[in-house]
Amino acid sequence: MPEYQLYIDGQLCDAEGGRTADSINPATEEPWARVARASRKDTQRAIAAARRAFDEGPWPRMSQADRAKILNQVADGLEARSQELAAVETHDSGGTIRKTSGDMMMGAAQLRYFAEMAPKLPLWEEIQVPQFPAQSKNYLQREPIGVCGQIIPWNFPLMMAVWKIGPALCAGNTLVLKPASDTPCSALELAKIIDQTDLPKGVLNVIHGSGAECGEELCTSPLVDKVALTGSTEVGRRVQQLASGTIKKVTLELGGKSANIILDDADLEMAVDGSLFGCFFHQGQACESGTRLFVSEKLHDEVVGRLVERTKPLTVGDPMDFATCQGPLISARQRETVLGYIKKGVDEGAKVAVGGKRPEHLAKGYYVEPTIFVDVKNNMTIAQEEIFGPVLCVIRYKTIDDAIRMANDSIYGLGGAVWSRDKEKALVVAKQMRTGTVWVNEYHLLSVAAPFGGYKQSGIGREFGLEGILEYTEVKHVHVDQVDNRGGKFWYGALFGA
Amino acid sequence: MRVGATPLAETVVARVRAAHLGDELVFVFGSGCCEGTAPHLFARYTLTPEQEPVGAVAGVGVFADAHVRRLYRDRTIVIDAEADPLADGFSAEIPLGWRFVLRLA
Repeated sequence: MPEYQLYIDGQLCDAEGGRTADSINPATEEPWARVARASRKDTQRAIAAARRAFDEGPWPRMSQADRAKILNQVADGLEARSQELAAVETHDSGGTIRKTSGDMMMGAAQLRYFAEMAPKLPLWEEIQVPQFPAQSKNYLQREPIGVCGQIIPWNFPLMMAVWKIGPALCAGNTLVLKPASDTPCSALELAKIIDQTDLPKGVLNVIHGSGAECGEELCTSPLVDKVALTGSTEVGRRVQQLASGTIKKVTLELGGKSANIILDDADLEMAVDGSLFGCFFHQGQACESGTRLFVSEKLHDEVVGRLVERTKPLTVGDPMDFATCQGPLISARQRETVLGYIKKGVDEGAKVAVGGKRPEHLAKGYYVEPTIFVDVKNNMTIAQEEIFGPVLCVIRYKTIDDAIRMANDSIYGLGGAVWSRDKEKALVVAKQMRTGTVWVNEYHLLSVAAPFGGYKQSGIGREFGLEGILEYTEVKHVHVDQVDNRGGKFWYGALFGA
Repeated sequence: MRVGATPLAETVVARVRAAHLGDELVFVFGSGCCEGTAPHLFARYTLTPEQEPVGAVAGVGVFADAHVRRLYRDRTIVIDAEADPLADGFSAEIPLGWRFVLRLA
């Protein structure tokens, strides 16, 4: 069984007391790797290392060009081992090998984007301000925030690690990364890759542990300056509360129940496959999945027929097999949750058009068939709560305004899509959707150059793009007086009188 | 919605209370996504205006917001505990090696 240690202060090390836990392969339900399990003390050590590296080490003071070079070294290392890491990711997360292979290549490409952006960050710029009452020159200085605690989920383990460490390192921060307890291995492999680069020790630390011990320490330690979480809305609430004691900067990327709207003039072949991709990719375990599909009364039966026809041949099985379309869910707990929601959907009067149960041909593994519900009302539980599994709800609309109103009737606002042959018409709809990303005739394609994040209870802040990187900086305004003599400072009269 | 608990869950709550002397504890529920509607036990948690009391377990108030109350309307839910060395959440029983789960009576 492969074994993994923590990575703290440039060293692979055991956890306090030699504590370990076994990571389970969701396809076999068997332990497949032994991983060091960090305690609160281990987390404190990691934080101390990141603090030292920030306050005393070379990293925050390094030139942007040198930081870019190191980020590219990490990308090189990831690329060189991408096939091997894809297999690790599949064993750990149940993502199909098709998906995880893509994740590794995308992860390396995204790291290169952050490398490219490092020299472009406006770390010192002059700005123009009204020259009243004073003549002055004004500058903005942007600096890294400091030590960042980063907590990521189990659905895209390696990519989530890149999305967090990329902007943090690009801006010169140091960090402690806590991957999900279910999927620590690819982040720990990434730590080994990073250990071979010129990244100074202590800049990047990776610990595997629970939210209650390690996550809470990251959120409450006065030595941590910023916390970034991708996770559930409830955990986001808790993280924000814990971080509030020390007024940490907090960015949260939380849940979603995204609306996917098919207009009557859509290219149905594309819209149907796109909608299934939008909901079933990675077994629906993506926060921005298009889980509510809005179809007009007119097109409903035809669309549902096509959806079912395209869903039936999707193979569910061994994620290491390149022919597999749908792997298992991450855990028994998650499968139970999804099956519970399916039952609730039936209880509330929706109908299962396809799927709805565990696949009969698979005795082992946390599998659920890709499932489509019809006769769903927008206020049903399955239409309002994030299921995080392969469950699509098809909802009829009478008018486009009706569809938009229902799309926005959610506490979430993360993703969404509009399908139409008339792109201008689609844009009119897109602009009215209260959500952080809208795809027109597409789904899921995020770009590392475009901000991603949530409206409403889907989160705070944005990742990607310059906006996302600037979330990892502090900005300082420097005002340099040009009056140069006491006589000219008439505003001091407010204190001294005329 | 009615809330019960297994004797094991009550024991775990007592252990958490001993580890958090002086702190007010509450049970709340997850909101879908990665952990479904799993019960979370938090110390010093700020309840939202939407979270209403629905019961108590070993002297700890249980609060649920509208969607959870609707999900389990007319049902009895039972809070149980499982040993879970890999639990990831922020819930207070996790450092003690347990994870609270929800069962339907």
